[in-house]
Amino acid sequence: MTEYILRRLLVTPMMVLGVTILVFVMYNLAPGDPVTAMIDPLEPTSSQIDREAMRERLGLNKPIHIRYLIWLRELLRGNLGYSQVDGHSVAERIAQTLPATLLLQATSLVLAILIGVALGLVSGLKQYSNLDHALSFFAFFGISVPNFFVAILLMYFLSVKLDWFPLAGMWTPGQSTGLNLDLLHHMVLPVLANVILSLAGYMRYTRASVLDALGADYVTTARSKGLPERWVIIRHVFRNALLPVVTLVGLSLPSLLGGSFILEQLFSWPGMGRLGYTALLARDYPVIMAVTLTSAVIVMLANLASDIAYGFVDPRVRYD
Amino acid sequence: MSRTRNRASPQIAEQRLPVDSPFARSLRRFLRHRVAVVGSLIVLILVLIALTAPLLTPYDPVKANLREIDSPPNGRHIFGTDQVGRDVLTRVVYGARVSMSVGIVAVSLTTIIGVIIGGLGGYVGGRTDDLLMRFTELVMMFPTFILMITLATVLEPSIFTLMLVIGLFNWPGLARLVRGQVLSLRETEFVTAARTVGATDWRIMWVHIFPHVVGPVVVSMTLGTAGAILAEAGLSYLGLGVQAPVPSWGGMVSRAANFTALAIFPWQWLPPGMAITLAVLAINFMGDGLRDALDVRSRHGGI
Repeated sequence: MTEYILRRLLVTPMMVLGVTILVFVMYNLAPGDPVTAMIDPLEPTSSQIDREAMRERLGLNKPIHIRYLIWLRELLRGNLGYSQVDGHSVAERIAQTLPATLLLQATSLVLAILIGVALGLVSGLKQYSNLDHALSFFAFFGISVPNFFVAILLMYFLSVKLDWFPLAGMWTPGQSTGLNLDLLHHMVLPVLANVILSLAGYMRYTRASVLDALGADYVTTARSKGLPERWVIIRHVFRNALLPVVTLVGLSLPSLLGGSFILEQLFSWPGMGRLGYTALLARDYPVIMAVTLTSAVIVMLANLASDIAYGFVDPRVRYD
Repeated sequence: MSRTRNRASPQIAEQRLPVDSPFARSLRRFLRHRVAVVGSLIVLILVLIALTAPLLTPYDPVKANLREIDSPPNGRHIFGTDQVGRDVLTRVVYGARVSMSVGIVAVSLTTIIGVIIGGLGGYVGGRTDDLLMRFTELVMMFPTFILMITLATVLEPSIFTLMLVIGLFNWPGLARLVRGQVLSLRETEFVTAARTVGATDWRIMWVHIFPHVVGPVVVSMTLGTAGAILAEAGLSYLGLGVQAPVPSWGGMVSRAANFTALAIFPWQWLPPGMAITLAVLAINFMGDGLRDALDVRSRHGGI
């Protein structure tokens, strides 16, 4: 057990390192030369010598692996570089926008898991019932519909037509900010969109897990020794079926964070996704890289946490 | 879904058994999966639409018509017109071309990478396997869509970039599936038997192992196509796909995703949005039917 956790703890930093390499290489694939971008093309004095001097000064003439190490060192110091558009510190921008994203994603994740697992349990227990079929269809819809389409449909019907929820932003302009009802009101649509999109995975996994447990020998044993059905379901089926669900915590996180590029922009949610989207339009590479890196680290930490939790919950888990 | 329906009366099953090839059995199981059959028909129709687009509509998908901007659905334009007066239905019909071709090419790339990595890891085993699987996990843990966005941003936006970027990151699931299959097949008696009579690794892989992997690969390709079309829609929505004025479903929704169009011109985003959903849903249903028919078990494979 301890070994499993230790090895998992050791593997994660290595994976994060792998991610930094991937991100750095992609950054270097970007067309265009940063030096050319920095020199005013209308300035006649920008000769070849100036360029060389600038490359020298910026360290761009060093081989790529050296540049990577320098970049990594700065990264570890918390220096994510500066926006090519407005010159702001990227680390600062991330720190400003991350809380809004985390608030939205964490709420969505918790609700998606709770509702998804509950519906999955029902679906599994009532296999092939009309309810099961309806839920299955809904699950298929959830994995088949593009996130922007869900968002636009919700905006159109629940905001434009019915006027139940605000269309955009975190707070009504001019109203007080903070964790208040206004914020909750603004969160409904984006959270609903996220939940609809990520419910399916949890639901179907739980359903499969319940079906597995229902067919297991220990359930047959429990029934044959005359335990009341409700007892069998709660003590034997649910307990065993819910174990693997722990590993699913991180399941929809990559798509949630990836989707936040689109959803936060649509809902004008001032989070990291919208920051990434804006940077995308401006081809502001340092910002895009930072958003990618931060998202990847969040996903990996969530996976680490859920794996360790699973190790604690289920003693059968071995690392191999 | 079809499992209960498989319990046909034992008499009939016994009568049919002797003449039943595995293919016929799978086909019969697939045809019994009604939703999957409907899904396949829709996919077929969409592919036909994509192929015959110019024959289906009298309008030009690209040329602006400034006299008919933002006109609502009417007799001449069933789905109305867009921001520059182009027929929405025409653009939806042409948009099928981008979605379908990107879906198919991207998934082929994914399959090649996934089968090679998974097959190699499973067959060779040892350190190679260890290394390949760590790499697979790394890619798997990554927020794939963000990775696609990043790569699509640094590359020149085009339909080929889309195919490459989407195909490049979705293989981990398939690689693990193939590896698992190969790993267990490697230990079977028929492989040992083949080896004892001197079959080469290549022959064992191709003749003895590969046929058993086809089922899962076909299922994964189908579901992968659905995922690829969805990714294409997302990237096109972000403006990273085919460039205007070439019509793509994601791009059409994107252009209508501003407050005015959203509230007042729903015909500009509803048809392309529904087209994506319908296409992806149909392919997913088809994949589900294939999984039942080919008896591929997977718990981790999403749905």
